[in-house]
Amino acid sequence: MLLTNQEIKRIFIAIQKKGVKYIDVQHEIVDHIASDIELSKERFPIWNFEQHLETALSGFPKDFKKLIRSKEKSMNRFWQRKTLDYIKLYFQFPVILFTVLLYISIVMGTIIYGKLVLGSSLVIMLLLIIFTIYKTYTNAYYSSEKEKKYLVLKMFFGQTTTMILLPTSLLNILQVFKPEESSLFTQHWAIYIASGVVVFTLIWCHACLTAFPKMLHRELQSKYPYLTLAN
Amino acid sequence: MNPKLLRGSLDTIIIKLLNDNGEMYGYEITQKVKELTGDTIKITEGALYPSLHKLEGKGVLAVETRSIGNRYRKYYSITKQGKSELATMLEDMKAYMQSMELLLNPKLA
Repeated sequence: MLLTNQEIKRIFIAIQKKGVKYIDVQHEIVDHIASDIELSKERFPIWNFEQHLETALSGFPKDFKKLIRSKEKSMNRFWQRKTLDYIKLYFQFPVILFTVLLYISIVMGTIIYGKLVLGSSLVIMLLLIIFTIYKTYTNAYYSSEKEKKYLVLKMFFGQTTTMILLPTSLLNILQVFKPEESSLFTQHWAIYIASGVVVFTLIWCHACLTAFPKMLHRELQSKYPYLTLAN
Repeated sequence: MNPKLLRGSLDTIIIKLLNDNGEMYGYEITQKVKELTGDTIKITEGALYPSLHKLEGKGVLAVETRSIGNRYRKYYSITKQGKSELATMLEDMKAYMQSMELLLNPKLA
């Protein structure tokens, strides 16, 4: 016999007390414990609910951190795989040609016309980064249940924004924010690297604004039907 | 049974079960293992879920969540990649068991 709503709620509370704050992780554990209690109720009908619950919880380790860490690792790996699949799909003939042309244009433009080309590309890139992070944040967190925490959304936001910010940290090495002191606009090697960073970031921002939200929605539909996003 | 003995073969057990039974949920896996081994092997929740999550992350398992009355249940199933990995895993397991047999019962060899 299925457990009542009140009993399910009681399991949620017990798990939250054990330190499992993510709703999506809680759902999986709740189903396991509820299934265990249902069987236990048939075997030991004289027990009260708290006794059943305590027995079911004893099967889990005292510390749920290992379970949460394994889930985090799994999600990290999942998004890395998805990202790699996207990159493989992206880098096909017409698009790869466009990307190479864009890269060459920025490099040649900077060499021929000076720092204005690379400088304006960097400004566009920075504005796009801010916009993309804002959009990704709102897409991932402005769910119908804003106050609740979901590991899937945290991991999605973490993975995508890290990949946006990672290449830009290269620019710090080139001291991009102090162009008068740096070699960014004069040395060819620095122009090649900075142009590469600009092109990569533009592609990544494009993916974050178009392909990745679709991936997230597909993922939520099949694995997290209790979570609906507002956007 | 000593859980340390089980640790290295848990992934193989999970994939084999899912291959034979189609989709299953976490609790069902633990019960099926108990049933098939006559209660000799008991998979703990602390070992099962990290394994399931790892295999899901690797793309060996696919997941679908469905509503079961007043709660949600995650069903795991084996992917195409999982099926191809299972063959290798079973071969490795058989070779391992044969080697153990030789070590523990040298007279039979």
